[in-house]
Amino acid sequence: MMVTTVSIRMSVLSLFFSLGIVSCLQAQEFKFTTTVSNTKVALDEPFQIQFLLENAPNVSSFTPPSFSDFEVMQGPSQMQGQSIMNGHRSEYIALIYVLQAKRVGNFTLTGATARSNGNVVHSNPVTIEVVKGARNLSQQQQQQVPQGAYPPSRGPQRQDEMEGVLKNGEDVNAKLKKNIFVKVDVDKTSLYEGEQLTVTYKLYTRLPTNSSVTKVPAFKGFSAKDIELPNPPQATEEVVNGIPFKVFIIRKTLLFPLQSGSLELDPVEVDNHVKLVKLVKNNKRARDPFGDAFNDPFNDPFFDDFFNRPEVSYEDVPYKIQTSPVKITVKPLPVDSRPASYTGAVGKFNMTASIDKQTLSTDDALTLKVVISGQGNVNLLNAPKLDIPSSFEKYDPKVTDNIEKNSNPLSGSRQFEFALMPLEAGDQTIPPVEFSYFDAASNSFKTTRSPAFTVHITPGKQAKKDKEDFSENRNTLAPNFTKAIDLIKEKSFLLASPWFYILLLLPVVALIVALFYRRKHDYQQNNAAFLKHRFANKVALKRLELAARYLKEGKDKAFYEETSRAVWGYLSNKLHIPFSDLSKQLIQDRLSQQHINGQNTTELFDLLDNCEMALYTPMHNNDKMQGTYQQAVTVISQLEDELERAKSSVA
Amino acid sequence: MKSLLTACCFFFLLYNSSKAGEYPELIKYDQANAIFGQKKYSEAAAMFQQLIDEGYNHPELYINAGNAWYKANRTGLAIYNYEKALILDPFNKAALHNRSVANQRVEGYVNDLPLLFFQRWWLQLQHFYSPNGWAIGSIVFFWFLIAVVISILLKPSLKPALLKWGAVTSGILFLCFISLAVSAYVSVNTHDTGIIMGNVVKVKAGPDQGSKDVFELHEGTKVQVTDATQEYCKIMLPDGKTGWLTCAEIKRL
Repeated sequence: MMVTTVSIRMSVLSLFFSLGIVSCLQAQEFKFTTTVSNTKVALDEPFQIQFLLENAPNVSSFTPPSFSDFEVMQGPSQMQGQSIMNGHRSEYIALIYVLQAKRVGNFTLTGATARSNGNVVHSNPVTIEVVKGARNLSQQQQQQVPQGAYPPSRGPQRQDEMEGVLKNGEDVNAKLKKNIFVKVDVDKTSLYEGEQLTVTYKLYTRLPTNSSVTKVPAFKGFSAKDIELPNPPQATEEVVNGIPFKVFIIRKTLLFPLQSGSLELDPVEVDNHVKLVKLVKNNKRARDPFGDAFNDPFNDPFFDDFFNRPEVSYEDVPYKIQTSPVKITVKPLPVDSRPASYTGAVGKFNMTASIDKQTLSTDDALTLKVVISGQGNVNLLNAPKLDIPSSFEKYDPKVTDNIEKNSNPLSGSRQFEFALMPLEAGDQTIPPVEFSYFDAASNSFKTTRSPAFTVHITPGKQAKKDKEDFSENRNTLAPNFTKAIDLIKEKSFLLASPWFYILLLLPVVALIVALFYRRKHDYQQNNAAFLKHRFANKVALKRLELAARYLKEGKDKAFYEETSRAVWGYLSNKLHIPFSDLSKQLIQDRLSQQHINGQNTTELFDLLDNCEMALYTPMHNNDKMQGTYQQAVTVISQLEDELERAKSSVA
Repeated sequence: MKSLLTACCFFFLLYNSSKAGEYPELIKYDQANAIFGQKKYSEAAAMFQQLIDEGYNHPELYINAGNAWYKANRTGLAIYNYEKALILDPFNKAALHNRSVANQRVEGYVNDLPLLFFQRWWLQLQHFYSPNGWAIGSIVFFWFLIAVVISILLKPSLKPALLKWGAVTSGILFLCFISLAVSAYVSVNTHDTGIIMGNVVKVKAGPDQGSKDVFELHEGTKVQVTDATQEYCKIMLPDGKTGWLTCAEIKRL
């Protein structure tokens, strides 16, 4: 922690400059130095010369060198102060003149003489080159005024002390606007995708201010890499429109656009608390800058006055400022000429590839190291596309970055380590590694290629042994067959030819024929009789249709009548006897003629007798009727069968 | 009468010419072997190939052609011919040996899984007769079966037990023979395996040019073709990897 107290005489103030432009004090050693603001000045340009006495005890006299070739524009202004740093207290007295050269040429100002503690001390001489020149030129030169031109930061400097004062009737806002602003510096506004863009956000101030950045830009669409800034921030001097400003860099970033199109840099917002000093009405009398009392400035009444602080009051004015947004045009990379191996690198690169061993076994792993170094978007480099033969197993690369800190343009290297596992023994070739980048300077793609690598791979312990498992002459072919073979043209497949199916179908046809034959045979043997019996039954049932109805109705007389008539009718029909000639005797004769005898005939006559008996001895018996009906059916059926058989046997 | 004579003459001529046509093939075969002996391998291979293309189908012919292609540094065609010989005769020692020799030249060769005992038995059984032999056998046994059935039908009195047994055995034999005939026919006529002919073939993830490369195969690799579009074939390796490649790169067995 450092506490600096600064007191200033004359039109004076003492300020606490909290932005950190507070400097160290050297140890308590005596120093008497001369410094000028510029060693090379234009003829009409005023410059400052300062004589600084540090830790000089009891300064009793001060004699400036003769300014015969210069005109004293202002001064001497006297400054006295003390500071305590790390517990060391140091004091200083400074005398400042503003001079203007009268002639062109080189002039040497001899050092000033002072008497301290009774000893005469001299400051260093200074040579000033005065050139003829327009004011503009000298302004530009002045922009590069190094900070070292001033005493090691004695707190407020030069004109600052003037600006921090709010004069009567002065508008605060106008003053702030004039004296504090932020600005974005871009090194280009149109660039290629992936090309580097340096963006610097600067705070320009002429007022003592306590600033803090409240809104940090997000850089949408960019990949950003911040450059580390010194802490505490260092101020530089810049002249804008002839007014020198103290410049603080808020942020310096290297941007790499990730997309093409029109991108916008977000504004940065800075909150300032400006310490303004208000002069109190009863101002000290203005001091004539060309006043005398050079000879003994320390006896000057001002010195007495020094410790009674000037009557001023401080005011803390908040002031918010922000940068205006900046539009950046990002051009897409040319598509036509883009090589296949291009993976997005923009800049200037070198690529080296190496393998860690030439000979290895299938148990080991091979490392293919690809190092891409150079300037450009190193932080965004993608692994080059490798065309690894399938006899290797490739794993994802290990990426190691070595990016130079705070390099602008961004430079460094990125290393890709591919682990490759050989799968097969033998001499394997890894094709060349190819890497392409876009050179924004020449607007063209460039490709670098490594040599191809040959690796000798020996079979390892874990290699599959069965691969080598061949007989002794495993590497020679079995000899040709030279003895004559009966060359027969391949016949078409039997299975696919119709003959196969024809030959299969033929026995099936035979089988079907056999089946038919068998069926016919069986029909003749068994089934014919059965079918005919059924047919005969049908004849009998048809004839006895009416009888059946009477049976159902219980009309016994009609039933017997009808049954007997049916039987007689059947017989007359079958035996071709007219109804009128029918007699039992005739029927018997006819039946015996057809070799139908025995049981059939007797059953027939029994039935007829039964019917006649029932007709003339009426007695109602349903069971008997039923029996008679059944008898009639069987008799007619049997007769039908017999007659049919007799007929066929005759035929 | 005259026309009958000319027909006779014609048939005689045809017979003669066909008989004479057989000899040039044998001569060609011997010639090819001689050229092979003179280490003109490409020419020998071409002659063997010509014989094969004309429809002569012998394992020996295929092996000789394979040897010639092997010596002519055409590993893919060599393996193709050895595989063809092995289709005809799966236990041909020369073909098996020569194929294993040729496979040493194939980059990334993955051993085929050895057959399980029953698969080997089945293969042996399948090649016990030629496909046509199986077909003829099945016809013979079918006829026998039908004959037995007919005799059972027509002459039931003729030792029915014996006939029944005869019918059952001949029926079973018929079924065996016909299934083997069909399987032998199918195994010869399926072309679901192939040999890669291109030197280095990138196998893609899908059946189009834009698909990403999955792995690469070298000449001579035997692959299983599991699916195919007009232009692209889906292949499977013995280790189960699958991918697509243009059908022109595969020569189907």
